Amino acid sequence: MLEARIRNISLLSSVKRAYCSVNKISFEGPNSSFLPIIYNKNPRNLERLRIAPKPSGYVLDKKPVNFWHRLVIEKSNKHWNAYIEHFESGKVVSASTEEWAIKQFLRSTSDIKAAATIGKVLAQRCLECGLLEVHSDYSLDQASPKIRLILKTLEEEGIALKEPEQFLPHRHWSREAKEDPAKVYEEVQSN
Amino acid sequence: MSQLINQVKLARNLLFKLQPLYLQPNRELRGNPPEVARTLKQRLEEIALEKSDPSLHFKVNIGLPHLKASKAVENASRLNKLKSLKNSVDSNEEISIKEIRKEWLQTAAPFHIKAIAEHYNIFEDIFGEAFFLPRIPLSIEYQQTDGSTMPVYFGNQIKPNEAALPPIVSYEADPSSLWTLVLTNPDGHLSEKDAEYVHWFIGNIPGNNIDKGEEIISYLQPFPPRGTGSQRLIFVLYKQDKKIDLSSYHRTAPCLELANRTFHTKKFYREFQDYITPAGLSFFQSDWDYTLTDFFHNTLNMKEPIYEFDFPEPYKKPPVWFPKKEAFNLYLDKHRDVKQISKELLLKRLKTVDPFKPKEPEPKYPNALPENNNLPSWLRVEIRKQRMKWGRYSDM
Repeated sequence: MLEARIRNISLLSSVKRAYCSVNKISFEGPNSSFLPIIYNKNPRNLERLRIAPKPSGYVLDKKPVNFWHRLVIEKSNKHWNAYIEHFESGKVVSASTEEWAIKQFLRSTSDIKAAATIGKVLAQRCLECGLLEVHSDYSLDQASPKIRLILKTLEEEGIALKEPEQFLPHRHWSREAKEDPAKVYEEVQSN
Repeated sequence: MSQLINQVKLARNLLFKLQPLYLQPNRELRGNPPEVARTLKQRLEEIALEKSDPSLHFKVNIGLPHLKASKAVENASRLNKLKSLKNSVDSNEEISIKEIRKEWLQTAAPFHIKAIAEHYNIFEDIFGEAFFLPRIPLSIEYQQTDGSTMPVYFGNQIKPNEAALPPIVSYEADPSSLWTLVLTNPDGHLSEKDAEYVHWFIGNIPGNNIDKGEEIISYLQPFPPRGTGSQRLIFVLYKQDKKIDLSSYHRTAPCLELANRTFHTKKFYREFQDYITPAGLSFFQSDWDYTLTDFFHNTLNMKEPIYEFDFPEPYKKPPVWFPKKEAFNLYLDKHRDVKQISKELLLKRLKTVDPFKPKEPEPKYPNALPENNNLPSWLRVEIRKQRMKWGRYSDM
């Protein structure tokens, strides 16, 4: 249902204006016509722009679904598993000591060195996949030393363990005046 | 049914006045017990299943077959390696991430890449109801002016000015085999709704020598218009069974007329599906940067389109003649034209600003200033909001 909302309504962006530089007044080339509304089909675009609907989750759940992407770390007796989960797509990026690529370098697949390796590999894969911000239910104070190490490695490698809030459009009658993240970003870019 | 029972109870109680009036909520009213009742998630999944027919909507694998050594052969070498590792002395050496990645590309990578590509909806947007496991690892790097390189992985962000020149592509291939490389953008078509732009198209590449292939369509950098967010640019490598004639797709070298770059991967694949098999996949995301203004004006010879996200209109209760329990000014404001309101605000602001005088310092405690008690209360509240710079008064 949420997806339907994203796909049908929110993906369109309408043309605001088209302008040309000062020295040339008009262009009458073959490219001069374009649609007033274009649809960006990239499903991750709105999440990057912070305007995709974000589930608010059930308050009484132990781990409420209130994220776009979440970090999950699992520990079994033998292995470490860490993965990034999306609220609709499920498991998206994963790293596990059960993989031969990682296992062959480890003497033990459950010790602290294995945990650090999992953190590094997951961070690298997240960076490769363009997931720079993930929600994390783990707190650095309460987690076990090994999990804390994974969290720290992820942060050192450049993954933010906190997701930005959803941006809601400003209504002229509402008290909060929020700035559009897309516009702020562009202004910073052009300076 | 439960209502009826409640009504009967009510009538009985009223008649005989036996008990104080309390209605016991019925079992039916509370719904199914938690063991039986399905969660919202389960119910939504069921609805989604009903809508899609599995006999019609299923995914087809169009990729290369999995040629894997037998489990026994594979496990023997792996077990030996693990044994020697267990017997070795524990060293404090850092494990090289590069080596892990190299091994990963040989083993689990196709499955992981497929998962992330599905997350980015790549297969559905370019192939429809087909997918493939990218068996051939692609290494794509954009050379930067400062000498560094910008690699393309599976959805990383690359700015248009970093991707201005064609990248260096390499993959492992037999020199006698033939390949096709296509770079398309399914999100950025400016004049058609469900079409792609092809940014680069090289056919009949002998082995991994990209320079010796036929350049069907020359390279064009990504140009996501301002305000549309990130667009995906997808490299797909196809393996050819034989040399194919791609002259119908050929365009003369700087193909800057965008309509000529319209492309449909699905149609292209349908045309040559007997001879080509998708083998490699890599993609990046790109969004607007300041160099694109110049690119639109001087290279593409067009006005620069600027887009704005179209937020859905908020729901407002239909207006009535006599709204009860509503503050009249807020109620009227809600149904007024937004443009008119912002115009009034701008005029109000311009009245306070004088270009020839320095800006007056703002009071430290704005609400401590004296108020005119003769004004009506709604206007005094409005003045207070203005002083505190709430909401629409934020830039007053």
